[in-house]
Amino acid sequence: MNPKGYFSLVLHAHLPFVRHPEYERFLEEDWYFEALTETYLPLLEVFEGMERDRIHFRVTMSLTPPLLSMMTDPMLQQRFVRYLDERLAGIKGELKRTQDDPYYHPVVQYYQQRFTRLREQFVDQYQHDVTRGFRRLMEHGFLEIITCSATHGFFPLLATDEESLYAQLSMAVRTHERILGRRPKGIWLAECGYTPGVDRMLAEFGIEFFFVDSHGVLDANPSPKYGVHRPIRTPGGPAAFGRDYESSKQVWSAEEGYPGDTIYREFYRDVGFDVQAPHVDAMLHDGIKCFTGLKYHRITGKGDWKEPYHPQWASERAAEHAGNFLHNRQLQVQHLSSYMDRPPIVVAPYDAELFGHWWYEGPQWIDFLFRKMACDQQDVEAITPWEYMNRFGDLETVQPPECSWGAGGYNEVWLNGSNDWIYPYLHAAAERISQLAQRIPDADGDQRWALDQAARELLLAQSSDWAFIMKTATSVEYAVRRTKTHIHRFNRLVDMVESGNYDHEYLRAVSERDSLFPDMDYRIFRKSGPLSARSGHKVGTDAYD
Amino acid sequence: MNTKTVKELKEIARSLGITGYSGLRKEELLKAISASKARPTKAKKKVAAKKVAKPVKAAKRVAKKTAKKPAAAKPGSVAAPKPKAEIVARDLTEENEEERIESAKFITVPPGTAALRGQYPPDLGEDIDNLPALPGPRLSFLSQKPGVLLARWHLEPGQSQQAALMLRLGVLADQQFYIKQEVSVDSDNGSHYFHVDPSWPADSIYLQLGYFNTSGEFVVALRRGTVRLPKLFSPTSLGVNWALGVEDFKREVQQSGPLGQVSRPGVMGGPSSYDLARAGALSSSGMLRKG
Repeated sequence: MNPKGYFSLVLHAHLPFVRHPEYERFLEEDWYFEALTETYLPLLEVFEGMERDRIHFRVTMSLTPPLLSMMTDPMLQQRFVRYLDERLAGIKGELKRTQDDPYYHPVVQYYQQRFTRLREQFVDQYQHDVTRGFRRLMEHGFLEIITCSATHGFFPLLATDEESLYAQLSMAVRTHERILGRRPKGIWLAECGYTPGVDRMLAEFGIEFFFVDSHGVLDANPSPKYGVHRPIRTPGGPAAFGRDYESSKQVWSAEEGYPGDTIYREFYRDVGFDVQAPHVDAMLHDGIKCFTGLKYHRITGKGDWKEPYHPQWASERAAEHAGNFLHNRQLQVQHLSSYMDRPPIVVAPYDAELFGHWWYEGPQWIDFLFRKMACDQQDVEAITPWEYMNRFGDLETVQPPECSWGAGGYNEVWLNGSNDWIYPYLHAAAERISQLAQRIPDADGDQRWALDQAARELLLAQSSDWAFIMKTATSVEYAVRRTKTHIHRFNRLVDMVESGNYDHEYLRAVSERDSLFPDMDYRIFRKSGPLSARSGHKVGTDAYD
Repeated sequence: MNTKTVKELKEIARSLGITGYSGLRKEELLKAISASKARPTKAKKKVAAKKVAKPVKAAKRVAKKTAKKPAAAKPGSVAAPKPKAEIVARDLTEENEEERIESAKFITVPPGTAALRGQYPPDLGEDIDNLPALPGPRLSFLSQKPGVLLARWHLEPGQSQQAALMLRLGVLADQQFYIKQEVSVDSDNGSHYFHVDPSWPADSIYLQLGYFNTSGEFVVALRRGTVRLPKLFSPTSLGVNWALGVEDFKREVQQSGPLGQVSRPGVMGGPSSYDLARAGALSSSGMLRKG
């Protein structure tokens, strides 16, 4: 195949670290369980199906460090099995309740098959650890798994303390390598948040490429000749791939985009709110109404009236939409290649959770898209950014501006009246731990324990998700609480270090709760520390001296 | 209520403490608002109080560097030939659908439904209603977007009453500190969004918090150096790329200080830019004091 151009699908998979061993059940842990059920497991199934059928496909996926940590956490693994079992039990009750209902009974039967399959996948195939599936696909060359800042810290607003950026990158690379067995070649900067100078740090960590929104390339200095359809080289060395807005919009937009089609499953209608029955209550959290994941309706239209969901009709529509998308990409690369001196690349990045969680049929659409791309035409070929760089490595060097993919294109989503109060605390904490890391270069015992945990607390507080949630007003109380909790814990831990009085019971409790990054080393926050300490080239105390 | 825009309705929904309002359409917003109108919340007062310091309307910008946007084929139909448009950038003026969809990851109830989750029991004794004190007074200075900078200050309790404190935003050029805007500080903790000319050199913007001493000199108590100012797509076409027109923009800025002209040259506090902005330095003469 000698294609006219290339298509690169990039899926950014991320959730903040939500794990509450202190409670038997915790509502916000459902964010992760829903994403597993509707996005991560279905995507794996689609990828494995294409592999089995020898379909040429390439997908770039960022699996963020908090997500990898949750995927490999035994407690969350057990709780997810409980989540699936509760749904299967609820579905049994629903089968009985709807047995005489020709409209809804088939949907319930569909969910029975679906959840049974998900349980088989999770328990039998992956033995509770879905990273096995992703890792195998990566090793076979179908997936390019990239990393993201350690807790999805938004760099433009953390950049007042360079140590925070180094720490975020350091733990990201270490976690990626620890769980997936290889160092990442690329990174998804959280929220595509780029600020000049970051490229230099990425190069120190061996990162070869990252992504920016389209204006990050179009507004670069000097303006790159071919816009977003060829990557650029940043002054620090790594390449930056610009988002192709045309292909993104076809999927993202609820009005013109595919997910808004009336045949597709309606996201907001859920059995948890539609049905009152003991078997449904058993899926709720202490009787509090919430989504169960069992959604029986299709979008139907804008009004409240919703008709029953037909999985088969929706699947057919997903195939149509995949064909339409591919047709547009063919036209796009035909046009682009008419004036470019090498084949263009169309980079289409999306939140992975868009596929499946929000747009239920999204994973099927990906399946149809790659199958059609491999079998029905020869204009466009799937590729990863790394493969493209290896084929066409001669890139223009330009300086991108500060940018993000948030509303407005800059920092406004994460810095506004709803969330700007967090930054003085985040910056003050970063300065404090950086000074401590400088002053205490070789802590051990309790001191080391407290400093490492304080570093975890700060990274968790730096997660951009909390500011995002405060702005979008979804689970604001939880986001505020998480931010404040981590700041409090950080302060208490560094107070212990400064006073020399260690509360072991507290240390144990907080370490058990905020347990990610077992290989934490507080010296990642050290000012101008040796690169080995920051980049994780060598893990172990001797690397820092 | 029907005559209000979606943005205004979202503001009302926010003030009423309705969760998930950002994902609602107009009719859904109207419904959610009328359902919860009977219970005003604290948040309402808070928003009203904050209005003064709030930035002007989001600077929505169209980022089209070249020609028109190629049309995508409608699902199920054959796509029209693509117009000759090499580069298509994101249309930043549209309602941000991505934000709405991304926020779906974090909801456990439909928008407009009151989140009835139980109370979080006490955990490790953290005082969630209060944040720990910051180590010493602090001045933060961050860039929100082209032309908008956030100043946030945290002082010791009662400190704002000890002297008539002021925030002073200026630009350092030719060894002179040109004061662009001054804002009175009348609370121990707070924030102010400065609207500035995006063409100012990013590496020479300074923010000072200080007061006038008895000799009429401005004493810098806290300072912050530069922030990066993201540049505009086309700096010469402010009126085109910003929802806020040039005249509105100028008016906004002029309300809080002179725009694009040197207010008055200051008296340098030292030989370098660092000295000029350092805490305790005298950055300008008392003649600048207003009123």
